[in-house]
Amino acid sequence: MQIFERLKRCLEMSRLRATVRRAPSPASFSALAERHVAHGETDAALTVAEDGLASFPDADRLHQIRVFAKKKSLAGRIRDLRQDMARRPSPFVYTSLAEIHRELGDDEEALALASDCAAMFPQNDQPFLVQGEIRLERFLEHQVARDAVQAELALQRVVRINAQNLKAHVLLAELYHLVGALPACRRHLREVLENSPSARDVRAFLRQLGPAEDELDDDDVTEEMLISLAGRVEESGIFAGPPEAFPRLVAHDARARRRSSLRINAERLTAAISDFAGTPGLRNSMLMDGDGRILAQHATDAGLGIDAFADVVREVRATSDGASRRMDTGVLVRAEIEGPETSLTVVRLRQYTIAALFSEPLRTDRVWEMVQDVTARSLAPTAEVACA
Amino acid sequence: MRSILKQLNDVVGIKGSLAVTKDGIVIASHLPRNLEEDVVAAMAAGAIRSTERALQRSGLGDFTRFTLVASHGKMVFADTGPAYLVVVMDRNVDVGPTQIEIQSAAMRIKQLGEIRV
Repeated sequence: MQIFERLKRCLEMSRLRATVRRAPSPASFSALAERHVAHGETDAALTVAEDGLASFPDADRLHQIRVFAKKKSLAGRIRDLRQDMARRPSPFVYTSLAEIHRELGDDEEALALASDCAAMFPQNDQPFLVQGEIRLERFLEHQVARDAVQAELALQRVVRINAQNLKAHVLLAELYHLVGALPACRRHLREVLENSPSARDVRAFLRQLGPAEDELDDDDVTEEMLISLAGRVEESGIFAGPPEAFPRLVAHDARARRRSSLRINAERLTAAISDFAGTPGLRNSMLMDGDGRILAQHATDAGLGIDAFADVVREVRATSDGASRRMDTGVLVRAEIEGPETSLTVVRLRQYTIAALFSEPLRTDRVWEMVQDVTARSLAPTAEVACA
Repeated sequence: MRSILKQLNDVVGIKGSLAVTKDGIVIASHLPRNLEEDVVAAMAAGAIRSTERALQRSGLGDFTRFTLVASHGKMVFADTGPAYLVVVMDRNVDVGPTQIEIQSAAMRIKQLGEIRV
């Protein structure tokens, strides 16, 4: 009986693995990861969830499985740290717990812990460093100016408390490089070199930045200057200094790096959107570029006119993206608007916008699945960036 | 109203909630200390108004529920008749099962009848 059960499980797992290879999708990755969870194979579930997230970064189910698997493996450590926090709070305990929450992908909790720690131990540089790192990673991921400003505030606080904190100098240099404040970037890299003269990468990068003609300039970046520079990055969606050019001195969160290396192939995306046509219940579908120009669209007789639909999509995207940024929750991933008869889904995919207006039998969750499939088919490795 | 919001906030993944009119006037709120009531209310009223205007212009009518998924959090705006229920959630929470709780809270707020601010 036991052998029979084992054989059955083996066959089931190889079938699910084959499905992932043949038709990778959030659903196929989730199915395989969930089976691993059911069999108590948490590490394997985590690997599958992370592989899936590499292609489908916004897949909710895969996020949940990843968090579940990570939490399970870190449960003991979290419990111990929570107990320590209640008994004898210290910056180490707070920041260790914050780091675990970062690992779990719960940046909000990590930021809250760092903020509590900073309030309790204002002369310790560690909580500010955690805040700075998270904000910089967010800026790398989504180019939201507010994150750049918050990152700078926190990191400047670190170097004020501890001028020898090399990690903070590196992160500040990277931030200034990203927004194009080169004199400030050089200054912090020189601080790193002074304390670590053997850092060849830093020396090479400083050479690459060119001669410091502006050496005598006041290289302090004021808050207004940073808001303006980071605002330009947010508006254009392009960093002043390419992230990949900066030496890899600090390992950023893998998710941010992975996301920033994923590029959309516009032709594949346009072709994939055309496949939406004919889906029962779908009234309008549309693909727009970053300037709101229509790249592809489909409308049925029950749908809206092209211009009317485009207007509503632009408005919903702008409103939702603005609301997300004001709430400090990053950038818009998707807006799902449900009405008595029709529903509208607007998805932001890097600079592109995908929208669908639909009614029964099509449902909001199914539309999201369809969009994720389209996304997966449109992802191109960095080498294919040309058309992105 | 406050007890409905408090009960809703007990659902795993829900960080806070508030009931707000379209003009941004807060009727009741239950938010964590890192979320400022005025900021959330102003953002919610602005988002609701702009979205409704856009939908009405194209003849789509009002919405019953508006879910906003952002890279680091989620928000739901549910129509409760005289006001809107605004729910702030964690990024990793599964919206599906939570929607049932939100819908139930929205229904109960609706049943409270006239709201005086």
